Amino acid sequence: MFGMTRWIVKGYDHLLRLYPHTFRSGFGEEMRGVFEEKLSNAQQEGYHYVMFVIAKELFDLPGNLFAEYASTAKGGSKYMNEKNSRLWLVCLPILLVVLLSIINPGFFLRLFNNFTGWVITINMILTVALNYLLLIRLRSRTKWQSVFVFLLTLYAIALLFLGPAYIMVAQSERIAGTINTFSTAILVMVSLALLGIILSISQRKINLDS
Amino acid sequence: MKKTTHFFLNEQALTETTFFILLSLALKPRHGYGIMKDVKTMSAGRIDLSAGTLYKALKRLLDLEWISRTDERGLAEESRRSRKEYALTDLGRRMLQAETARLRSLVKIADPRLTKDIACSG
Repeated sequence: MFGMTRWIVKGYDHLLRLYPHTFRSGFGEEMRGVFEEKLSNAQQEGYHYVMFVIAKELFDLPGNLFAEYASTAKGGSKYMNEKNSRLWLVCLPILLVVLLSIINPGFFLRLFNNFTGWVITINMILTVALNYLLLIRLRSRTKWQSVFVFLLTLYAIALLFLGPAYIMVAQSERIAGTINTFSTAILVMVSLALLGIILSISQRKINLDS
Repeated sequence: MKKTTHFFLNEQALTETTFFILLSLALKPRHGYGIMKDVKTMSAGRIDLSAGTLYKALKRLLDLEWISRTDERGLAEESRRSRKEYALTDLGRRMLQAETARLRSLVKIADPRLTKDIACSG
């Protein structure tokens, strides 16, 4: 029975992920604790009551989800984690690309003309992913997190603006061969480092959840 | 504050769940599961809250500042992780008193009529 409880609670953990992230970060852990406590007490009353507890939770879920998503759309609660107000930072590199594409449609196409351009793009995507993971997953470490996210965003902007400009200057100076190889090597290494950080943070998130 | 004024002006009734949750906190602060058990006891088993429904209601009451949330003290480190205590605020107590008065006035209106009704049919 204890094994079964563990699996039910794990299942409940997955159900909790359906709630808006802001609600889950504010109340998810408590809800899990209460459900676990209720379930362990239900076991003493019998198998049927355990089933009733699960059914009740499932029955109430759609209504609660709807209410919480509606509440989040209206601005959420001050008791929820407020870090989502900085969520726009995650989209900043993407917004910059959209803006640049509107101003100069050829800009982004030129970026894909060479390997370095591709590496810059991959870097940008990795930076966005890292920003997202930091903002969404490691909510408790607020002090260094916001500084880190800010620096990463600056880095993404620098890559977007300076990378292509740098390549163009290098090409016009006819030393593109040497500099491009060097800069590409650096960018590939940065990409790999970013990928490593993302993977380690994802792993950490899984450990925190389990 | 806006929400409070709205409540008083319209004399909007509390839902039964909200009423029982507030009533459960009237005597002492409780944690989530404590509220759940007390509500079940008070309603003679009729209201068996799910965790989702309980926390949806608690979140709303926190927003309205009718209840407050604090860390529960004196528990082992591992269990304290997921335990928070909820307490009734002064505003919450006033709301509960207002709702009780509203219910009492309803009973006052209904009682004589029902008594007369029984007397007539008898």
